[in-house]
Amino acid sequence: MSDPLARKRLLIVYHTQSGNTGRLAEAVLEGARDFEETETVIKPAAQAGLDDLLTAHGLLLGTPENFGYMSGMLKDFFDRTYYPAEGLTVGLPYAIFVSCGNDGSGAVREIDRIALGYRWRKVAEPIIVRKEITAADLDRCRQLGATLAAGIAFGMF
Amino acid sequence: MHHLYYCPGGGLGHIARAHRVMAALAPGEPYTLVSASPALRRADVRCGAGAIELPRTLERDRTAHRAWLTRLLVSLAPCCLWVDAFPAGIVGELCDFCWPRGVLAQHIARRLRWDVYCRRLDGAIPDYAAVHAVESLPALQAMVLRNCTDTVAPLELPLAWPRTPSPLAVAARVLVVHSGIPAETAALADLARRESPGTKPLVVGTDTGNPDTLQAFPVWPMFAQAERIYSGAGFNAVLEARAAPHKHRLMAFERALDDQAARLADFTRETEVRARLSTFGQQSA
Ligand SMILES: Cc1cc2nc3c(=O)[nH]c(=O)nc-3n(C[C@H](O)[C@H](O)[C@H](O)COP(=O)(O)O)c2cc1C
Repeated sequence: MSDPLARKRLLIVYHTQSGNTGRLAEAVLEGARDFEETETVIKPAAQAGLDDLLTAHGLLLGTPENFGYMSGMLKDFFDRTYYPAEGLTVGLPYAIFVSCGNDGSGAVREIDRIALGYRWRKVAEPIIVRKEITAADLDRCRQLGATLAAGIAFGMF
Repeated sequence: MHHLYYCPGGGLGHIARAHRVMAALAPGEPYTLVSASPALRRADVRCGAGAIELPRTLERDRTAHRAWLTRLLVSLAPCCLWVDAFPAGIVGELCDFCWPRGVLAQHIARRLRWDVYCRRLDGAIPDYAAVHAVESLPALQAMVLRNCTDTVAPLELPLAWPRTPSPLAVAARVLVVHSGIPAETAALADLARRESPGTKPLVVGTDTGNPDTLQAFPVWPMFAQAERIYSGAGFNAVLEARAAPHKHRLMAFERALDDQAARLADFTRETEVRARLSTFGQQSA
């Protein structure tokens, strides 16, 4: 039996090298966990696997932008799960958060392209935090977590 | 140590669940079933439990229903009252209900169409010493139940339960198992014939008007010998299908308070995910 109390599961998959995306991920997690009807699971991309993805009802993807792209580790998560998960995650609600120096658009665009392949559904605007992380940025991240957590619990997406 | 299991729903499913719950939580202890199902008159359905038929006349009169239940609880003084499926009763008869002194009430929660069910309620759901969730519950239902108890815990029910021996030695390759209306049974039998041409499926159910229908309870002991089993997507059917998903074909039927389509969708997905994970493993780096 899966989770018998039917707490739907929100999965946060992220990678961080120097800690910035990690801070955003923590804020996203905090916001999501405020909403206890949803179980929120957070995994560094390297540790996230097929089972995490297939048991998720919603997905939050966090990455730094490196060379105008997502981090290699997040890309690796997609590489490992794309074919094994084929057809089983259609319609999965997702959203993105990015930490970067000055741009961030390349990472978001490329994640969206891959998400199109999985046929996931983007349910919130991406959060792109450039340079320093402010308290307002962390607030936006908390809100993103809470929005996804509440939305999947009540089937709003 | 006598338990009272209150399952006012009319179907056999409530009774099968009652036996499973008692096997899991009060093994070997005596219990009495309270149900509106006429099937309760059959000894095989009772499986050694006591039975009290809920008078039909109470269906539309909540006040009388409450009074009847209070009298029952006071006179039987069970060590525990188990309230099946409907936390505030099937028509809201347990709204604002005060358990008589000394009655320990526990709720067995299965998936409900909460949006429909809550329209039957005109007061608060009573407090429970514990709520046992026997399957995935919709978020709203889980949230409401957390407010009427301190303990909500998952409960995995067994496939089998001890029963009075029934000498049923009929074996069939293809079974149609259903206790719904004849049209639903016919739909299942049609599917069975289409998928296994040339085989005559054995229909097991409650349709006493049909001489081709075998009345047997419980049916799960026949599953080991069957190759294909066709049934609805009620709680018990899905629990039984989990033991051998490849054998079972389930069809979701419309029910006022039960969301069979959602249960079937969850089961199908669970089966697919399990198959995929066993092919690919966990796939983390
Ligand atoms: C190798 C490398 C390449 C980068 N490329 C970009 C880039 O293309 N665009 C950008 O806006 N920032 C770029 N940055 C800056 C990072 O995205 C930024 O420092 C981010 O906050 C790092 O996140 P982290 O602390 O979670 O690793 C790059 C940083 C590194 C180390």
